[in-house]
Amino acid sequence: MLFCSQAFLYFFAAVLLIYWLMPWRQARIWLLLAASFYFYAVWNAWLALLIGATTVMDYLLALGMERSTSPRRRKILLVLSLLVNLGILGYFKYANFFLQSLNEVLSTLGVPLWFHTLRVILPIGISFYTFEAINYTVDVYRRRVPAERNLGHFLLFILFFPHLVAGPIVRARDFLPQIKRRKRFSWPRMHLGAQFFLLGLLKKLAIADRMALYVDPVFADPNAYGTVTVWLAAIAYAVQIYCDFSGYTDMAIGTAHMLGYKLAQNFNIPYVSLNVSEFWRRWHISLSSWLRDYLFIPLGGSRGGSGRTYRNLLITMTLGGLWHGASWTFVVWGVLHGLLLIGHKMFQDFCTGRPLLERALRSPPGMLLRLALTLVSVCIGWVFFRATTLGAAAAFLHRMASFTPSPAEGALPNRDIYLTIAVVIICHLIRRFELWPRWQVRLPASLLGLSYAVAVTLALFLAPSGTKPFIYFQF
Amino acid sequence: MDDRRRRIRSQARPALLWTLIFFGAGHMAIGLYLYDRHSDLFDPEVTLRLRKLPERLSEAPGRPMALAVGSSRLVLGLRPASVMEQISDEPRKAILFNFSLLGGGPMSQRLVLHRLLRKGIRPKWLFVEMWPPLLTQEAALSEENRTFEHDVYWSDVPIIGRLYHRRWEAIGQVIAETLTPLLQYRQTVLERYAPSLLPPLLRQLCEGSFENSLRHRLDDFGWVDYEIHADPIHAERARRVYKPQFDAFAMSDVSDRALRAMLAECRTHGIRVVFLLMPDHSMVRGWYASMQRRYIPYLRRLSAENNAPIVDARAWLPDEDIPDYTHLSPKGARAFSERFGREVYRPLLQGCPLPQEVLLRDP
Repeated sequence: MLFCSQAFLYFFAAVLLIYWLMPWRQARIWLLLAASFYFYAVWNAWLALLIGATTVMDYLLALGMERSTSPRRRKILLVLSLLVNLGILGYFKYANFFLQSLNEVLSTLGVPLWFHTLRVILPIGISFYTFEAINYTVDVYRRRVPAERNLGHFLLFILFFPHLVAGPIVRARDFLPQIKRRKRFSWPRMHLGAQFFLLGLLKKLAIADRMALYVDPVFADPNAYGTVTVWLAAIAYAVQIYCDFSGYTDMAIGTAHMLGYKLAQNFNIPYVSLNVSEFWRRWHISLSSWLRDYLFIPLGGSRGGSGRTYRNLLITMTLGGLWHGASWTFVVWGVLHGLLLIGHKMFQDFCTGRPLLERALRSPPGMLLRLALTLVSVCIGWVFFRATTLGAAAAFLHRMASFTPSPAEGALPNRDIYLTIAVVIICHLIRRFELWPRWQVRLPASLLGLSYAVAVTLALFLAPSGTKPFIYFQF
Repeated sequence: MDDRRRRIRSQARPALLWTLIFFGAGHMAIGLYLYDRHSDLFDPEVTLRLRKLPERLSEAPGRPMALAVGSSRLVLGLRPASVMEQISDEPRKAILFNFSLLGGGPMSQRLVLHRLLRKGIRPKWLFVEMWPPLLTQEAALSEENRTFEHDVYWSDVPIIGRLYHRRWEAIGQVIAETLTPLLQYRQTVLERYAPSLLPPLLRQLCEGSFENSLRHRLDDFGWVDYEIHADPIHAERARRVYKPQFDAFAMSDVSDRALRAMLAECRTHGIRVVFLLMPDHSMVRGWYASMQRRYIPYLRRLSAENNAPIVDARAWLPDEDIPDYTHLSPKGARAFSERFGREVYRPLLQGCPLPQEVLLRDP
């Protein structure tokens, strides 16, 4: 059920109405739980049961961990939880990838051995809820959060439908206390939620899905297009994936707000980043902070010298790439970002003690250059992220670097791509300079209402027929 | 800061309420404007014909009118101008208008007649196309599915309620089209007013589509002048799409109910019905052999119950006039219409019985 579908609109309207009409706190929690199960089961009931079962297992293991005083027993329970969670993730998401890769290696070596791939479907959102379950059990093991005693509360933490299928990845310490808190209906909260939802709807339907119309044909056959068009498609994809994923997140945050919950911020205008390190502090924040806290730091983080830091960065980003999808293109994307982070760290070290260089980099032209370099690096990374195979990515990059004029029949005929990119830049500036909150308080309510009505109409009017699923659903 | 918070708190509820008001009222206003001024945006096939028919009637007040309803085979195949040329010497002239629709079988025939009667337009004769694939309502040829691509009116709801399996979906569509026509027809609106905002592929499809050519090639009497070029792919398509409908012919209960309801309405209003079997390619004529026993007795029964003759024009044209094995070429349409005018329309006007050679004979 897509957030921008009519089915979700009816579903959410019904849930919202019943939720706020219910006077009992516990009944509201069970209502949200039932709605969340339904939300997932509409897609696949059996896999909804699987998530439910693993969640109950994590609940019991965490309780066991908390009650146990034996460090060995606690560690065994943690390892068991990690094994089951990562095992299920590995089985559904990575088994075929490794089997196919192994088959290719064996075939290259001429070994007459062939492993059959598994016939499984990938549970939507598996990477997200697996990471949420892991952060909970690890935090309980580290005694950073107490184990949740109420099964309903714990199930809701994992299954809460706004974040179930594509994040943001919520932390137990942020979300569980919210479930316990008494909630009162509030118009400002509804208003805020509606604003987020509208923004997400506009991003998804009016921008991301429209960008896909230009991106898809160029990625399908880059050789039919000239260099300028191919670069434009790479930039359009950067816009598409940002608006698609942050649009989903905005809608998730909006629906959660309307139900009285607050989800973590996941994006903070990432394309204004001046370096790749800053980009990762602004892009998919819930994942990058998860990778930092549960992978990079346990690996040793920045302790132990430059070499170890670089190694840890590369491992973290490679696994981060693999988290996105079981394909070599995602691995290369992760490695590329790891290398970019290492390069940035080395350059940062190089700049230390060179005040002239530091000053030049902080000057407006220097900042513009850094912004452009970061954007170009990120766009090149997106080519691997979007391409279906490494060969396709190589063909695309080759076209980007070949300075080929556009063949007449291969040129993109529409020019509203420029308009859309301009709108996105303006929106970034509005957000960067925090203009909306200032405008909002000055505008009369009727004008605000008019602008929201226009925004919904624009989103629905400009949406290409047949809304595409959110890109991050596949992860 | 407190002032700002207070302001945000006070504007929350009115802002949301204003959103609903502006959205609802705005869309309703736009909808009313579009329905009033640009109604052909919504369903050009029906709207353009609904505009042209009263114009023709007003040009010849008091003259009786004959109406032809059917599918794209009739849309391309019956040229009223050629029919009427054949009766130019007749003292009792009557207007013939082709109100056939793409994919139109019994359900859309029923809706067309219902809509016209509601508008006070009552034909004296009604030519009803009969073709087996239009009567089975199977999968791709299901009229119910096609209806969702067209405009549905509030006045259609009683008929939809009786005939449709997906009646609630159809009624939902009527409501959505009434409340937010701009969104329901956004593709058509964009195509007309901002084609650059359409996806390139879709724009190309729209430009070359048959639906689009309707707008430009529809003549004053409802015939569409459209040339289909011969291509081997047509034979393959006809075999794939239509032959199974002949081989496993089974009259759908929905088609039967729609036909009978339409015939009952014709009886009530004194409209004389003539069933019409349009010219078929020899390959298609060969497909009737397997289903004659299920199809022809049904037609004969309907004909007898309603005193409606069956004109059998299946073998009237050579194969080269049916280039895609289904639809007539403009040349074929002229030839067919002229013969139809001479041998069917003229005797009807004169009040004579139709000649035996044009009527369906026993195989």
